[in-house]
Amino acid sequence: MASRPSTRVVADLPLTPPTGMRDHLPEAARVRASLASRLLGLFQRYGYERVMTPAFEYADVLERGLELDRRDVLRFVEPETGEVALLRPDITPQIARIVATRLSDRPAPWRLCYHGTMLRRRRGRARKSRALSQAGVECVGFGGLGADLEVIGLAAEACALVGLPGVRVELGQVGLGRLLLAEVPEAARAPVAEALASKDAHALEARLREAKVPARQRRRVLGLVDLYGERPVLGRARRRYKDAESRAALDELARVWDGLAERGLEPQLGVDLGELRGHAYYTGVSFALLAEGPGEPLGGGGRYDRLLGRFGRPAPATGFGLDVGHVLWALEAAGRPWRPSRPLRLAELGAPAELVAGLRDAGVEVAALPESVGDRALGFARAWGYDGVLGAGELRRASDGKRRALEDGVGGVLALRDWLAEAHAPKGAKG
Amino acid sequence: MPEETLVVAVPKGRVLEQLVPRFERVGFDVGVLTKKSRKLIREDAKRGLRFLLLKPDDVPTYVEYGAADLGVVGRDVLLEREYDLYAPLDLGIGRCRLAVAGLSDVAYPPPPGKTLRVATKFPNVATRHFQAKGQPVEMIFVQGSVELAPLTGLADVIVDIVETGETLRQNGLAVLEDIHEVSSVLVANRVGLKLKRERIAPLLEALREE
Repeated sequence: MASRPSTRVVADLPLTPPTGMRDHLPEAARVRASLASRLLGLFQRYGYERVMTPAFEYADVLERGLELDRRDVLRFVEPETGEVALLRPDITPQIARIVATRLSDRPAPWRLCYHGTMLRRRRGRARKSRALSQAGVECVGFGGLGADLEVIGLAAEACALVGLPGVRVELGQVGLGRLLLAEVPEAARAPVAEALASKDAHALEARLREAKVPARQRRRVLGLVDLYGERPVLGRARRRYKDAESRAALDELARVWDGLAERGLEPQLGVDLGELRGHAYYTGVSFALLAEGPGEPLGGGGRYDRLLGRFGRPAPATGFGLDVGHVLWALEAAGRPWRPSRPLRLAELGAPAELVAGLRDAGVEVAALPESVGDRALGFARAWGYDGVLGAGELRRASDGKRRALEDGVGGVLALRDWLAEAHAPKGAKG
Repeated sequence: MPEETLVVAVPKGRVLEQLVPRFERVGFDVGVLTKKSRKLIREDAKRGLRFLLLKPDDVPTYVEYGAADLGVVGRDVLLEREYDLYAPLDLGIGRCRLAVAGLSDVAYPPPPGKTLRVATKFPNVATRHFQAKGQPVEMIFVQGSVELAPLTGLADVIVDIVETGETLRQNGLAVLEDIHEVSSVLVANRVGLKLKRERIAPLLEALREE
C-alpha cells in the first residue's frame, strides 16, 4: 500500500498535462539534457554563442517572421499591455529580432545557438499539438556559399557526433518553387502549393485546371512534382527550367551540393525541389535531415536572407534546428540509444561529512538520506538509480547489497567504481 | 530477398478487393492478402513486403507516424482530415464522389436566409463546401446510416459518399449536388519515401503504368 503512488485524486481535476505537453522524469530528463548539451558543445566549438529567448512574445513580432496559420499557434492577450502574445512556435524570428536590435552594434557575422521549447499545434493531424525541444544555430551576416556549407556541414556533423553518421541530408531550393508559383493566379496559390508539397500530381493538375492556368505554366508547375532523388535530378531540372532566374536558383543549389560533396558528404545527399512546407521565411537553399524512426525529419534549416530586414536591419542569414526528441527516437531506431555519460551516484547515510564533501568535489553525486530511512536505504538507492549506499565505514552495492569496508577516503571510494558497476554488466559481459 | 522490408498499410473491405488485381499485376504475392485469416499483419517475405490490414480511416495515421511506409486511402479521408503525407499516386480505384443528397422533392438550394441542417460523417468537407457558397448551415455529425437523417427530419440534407446512388434511391433520396470526385490514393510517409526511394520509386512506376 505504502509504496504505491496515490491514485485517489479528485476525479475532475486533470492531473495529466494538456495534449502534446509532456513530463520528463529523472532518467529521461538526464538523457535529453545530456544530448542537448553535447549538441550545444559542438555548436560552441564553431563559435556559436548561446542565447536564451522568451517563452512568449508579442504576436506582432513573431508574425513578422512567420507566415503562420493563426490556428496553429497558442495566442493569448498579455494582461499588462492588452496586446496579443503567442507562445513561441519557432526561435529563429526571436534571434533575428535580437540580432537586428540588441546585438546590432557588434560586427558581423553573428553566430548564435539555442536550445529551447517551442509550441506548435497542428489541427486535424494524426500528430497534434506538440512541445518541441529544439537545439539549433543561426548564422547571420555571413552570406553565400561559405555560410551554407558551414551550416549544413555542422548539421551533418551534429548528427554524426551523437551517433547518426548516415543521416540523409535532403537539399531543397525554395527559390525555384516560388518562381513557379508566382505564375499561378494568387487565389489558387495556396491549394496549388499544398498539392505540390504533397507530391499529389493528380490534385495538383486538378487545382491548376480549376484556376485556368495555361497549359505551358501548368506543365512547368507539374514538372516540380517528381523532381526529387539524387544528383541527376539537378540535371533534369536544368533541362526543364531554362529561364535565367530558375537557372540561377538551380546553380546556387548545385554549388552547395558540390561543396558538400567535396567535404565527403555526397553519399548522404539527396535533393527535393518540390519541398515547400514549413518554409515560410526561407529564400534559398534549404535542407531537411532524415533518418529512420520518427517518421518526419529530425530537423532542418536553410537560408533566410529577408527575415532580418523585417526587423529593420537587412542581413543574409542561414541556420538549422534539430528536434531533440526526434534525434533520440532515431538513435533508438538505429539500435544506438543515447546513454549519457553518468557520474558515480551514491546515497549517503551516516558517512563522514568530510568524505561526502570530498566526493562531491570529485564529481560524485551524493544524496544525503535522513536517518529515519534506516534499513530502507538500499531500496531507496535502487528505486532512484544510485550505484550504492555510502555508510559509516562501508559501501553497499545497490544491485546486490554486497558490502565493502571503506579506507583511504575519497580515493578509496573512487577505486570501488568498477566493483559497483560490475553487477550492472550483463552476465558473461567482460570489462 | 530484399534487405529492407517495405510496410504497406491497406484498407480492409471494398477497396482491398479492387486493390488486389492491381497489386497482382505488379508482382505482389496477393495470396497473402486474400487468404481468409484474422491476422492483421500479412507477409510477402520473398519480396520484402509486409501488409497491415487496417480500418480505412486509420491508414493515414499509420503512414504519418512512419509505422507504415506506404498506404492506400480514399481521398475522402484526406479531404476530411489534414495529414502530413505525400500522395504521389492516384490509383483511380474505389471511384465514388462526395455529394449533397436529400429527399428528391426537397427545395435545394434552400430559400435565401434559411439555415440548412446538414447531417454528415464529413463535417470539415461539408463546412468548407457550404462556406464557399455562403450558405449558413447547422452541422450534425453522425457516424453512419446517414441516409436516415433526411427521412426522419433530423436534417434537411446529407453530405456523404455516393457510389452508385442505389442506397440513396432505395431510401427515396437523390443527389442534389456533387462536391468532389473521390478515388483511392497511394500515400507515403515523408521520410520513408526518401529513405526507401530505391524500393518505392520502381513500385510507383509499375503501379502507374495502367
